[in-house]
Amino acid sequence: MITDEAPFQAITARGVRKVYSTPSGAVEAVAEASFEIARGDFVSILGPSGCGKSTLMLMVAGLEPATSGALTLDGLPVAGPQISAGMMFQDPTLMPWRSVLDNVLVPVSMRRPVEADDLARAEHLLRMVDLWQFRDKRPRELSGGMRQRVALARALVTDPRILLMDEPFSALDAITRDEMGLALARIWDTTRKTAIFITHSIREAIFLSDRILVMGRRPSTIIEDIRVPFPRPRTPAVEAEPEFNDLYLHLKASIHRTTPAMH
Amino acid sequence: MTATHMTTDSHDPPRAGKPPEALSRVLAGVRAHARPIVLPLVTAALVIAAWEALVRVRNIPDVLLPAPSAVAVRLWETLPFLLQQAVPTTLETIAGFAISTVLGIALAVLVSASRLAREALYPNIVFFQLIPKIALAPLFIVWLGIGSSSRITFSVFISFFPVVVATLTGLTSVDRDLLRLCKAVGARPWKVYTEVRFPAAVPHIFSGLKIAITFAMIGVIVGEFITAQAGLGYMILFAASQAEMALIFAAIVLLCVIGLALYALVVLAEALALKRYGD
Ligand SMILES: Nc1ncnc2c1ncn2[C@@H]1O[C@H](COP(=O)(O)OP(=O)(O)OP(=O)(O)O)[C@@H](O)[C@H]1O
Ligand SMILES: [Mg+2]
Repeated sequence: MITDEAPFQAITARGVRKVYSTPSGAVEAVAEASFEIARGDFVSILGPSGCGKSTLMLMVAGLEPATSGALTLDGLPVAGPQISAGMMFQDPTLMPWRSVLDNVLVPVSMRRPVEADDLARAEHLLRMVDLWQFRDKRPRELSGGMRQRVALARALVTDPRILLMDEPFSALDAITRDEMGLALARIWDTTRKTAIFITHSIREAIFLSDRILVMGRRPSTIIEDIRVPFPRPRTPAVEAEPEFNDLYLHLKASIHRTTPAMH
Repeated sequence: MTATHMTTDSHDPPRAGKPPEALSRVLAGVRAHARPIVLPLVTAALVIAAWEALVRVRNIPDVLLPAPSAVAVRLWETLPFLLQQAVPTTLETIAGFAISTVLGIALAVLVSASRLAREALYPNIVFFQLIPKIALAPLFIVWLGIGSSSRITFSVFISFFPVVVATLTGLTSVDRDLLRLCKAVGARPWKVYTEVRFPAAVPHIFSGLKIAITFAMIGVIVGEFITAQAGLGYMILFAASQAEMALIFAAIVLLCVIGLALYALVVLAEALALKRYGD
């Protein structure tokens, strides 16, 4: 029996390794990853392109099997797709033939008939992301930021225990991206879901996270594990704090160290 | 709201004394819209006029090249007869197209859903694309006789490959992350097909169908050439044997009209489908 008070870590990874076998040979996407994520922690993963961040997230979601090592979610080994994970990707990946509301309900309707409770939850989430009045619109009628907000509501519609986000704001312009960061922080404050958030933006990571993991490349392992000290709820004002800048410079240097070839 | 409000609030209040400007703007708009229709029509009219002039000036005999006016007269005289011949051609084209659609989509689903089917079939499908299929037409008569089943089968044979290839492209074009999301929430594979892959493939399928409808007609006409029983294709062959050039052209004109109409129907269906399934 798993309850919210259970002493489990929400996510644990021990010696997780992933080797893709491709026609042109084996690719070691993740060499060794070991970490624990406490329930309710928002954890960002930073790292150079191609270091295996997406692969790690897919393994946590049970969508790619680990070559070796052990992963658990709420104390149970990850074997096969995890229904308890809500997911967001770089692209909104909405279905153009479905309305906004029906898109939000996709994780439910793909598995079983939609019930009144699901509709109520979808409405609640759409109101939270300020899109309830757009519920009958098609994705093509929305802006990029609005679409990504639909994707956020969709990720939360099953009330998942963990939220996995792979560069969800990378395709947005800078202003929309900041707005989305604020919206995510606000929504996260009301749900406090365990979250893994992959990003290339150090500022975004600091602003949103309780903890930041930095992955290095060759070998791709976790080279840093930093706690972010700022209290919640956070406002953009934290960016002005000296500690924010120290953290920023520290992380920047640490990411740069992992990519010595790039100068 | 009162009438006076409506005029004062209007975004573009008509200014008294300046209607020519508005009129010229409207005319410019019409011109911009009409251009893509008018220009090709003018070109076609010029070509036909040149053809007419050439035949008249050089006194070219009808058995070599009839003037467009002669074709028009012949078309008018023989229209009831030609229409009668057009019925089997049209019906067989529609039958061939319909079978191609079902068969092509089914084969594409099979090939995309089963790895074994894909590995065993797909290279052959690609190879078949490359065969000059018209060369095989006589075989169909040997196997199926000279009836309409032979022509329809050949029409299917010619027109279903584009449907397979287009559908397959559509079924496999679905975003990888969307498929992952479906897998993560525990969607059954058939549900992913009916709810995600197939709707995503609809726009692609129509690009295949537009090719298939023209190919289906080519298949039927070639079949009619060879089986020599009935239909506009047979009419053309027969007219050629009688040196009835004007009749050949009349039959071709009718074929063009039918082909265009069938193609337009597919385009119409596509427009309706894209309203729902398009991006
Ligand atoms: N399905 C796959 N098959 C083979 N190799 C793969 C596959 N997915 C990823 N890789 C390889 O594994 C390595 C890590 O890829 P991954 O996508 O996890 O990196 P990433 O850190 O998410 O990169 P980015 O920041 O660019 O998104 C890369 O070298 C990539 O080419
Ligand atoms: Mg990635």
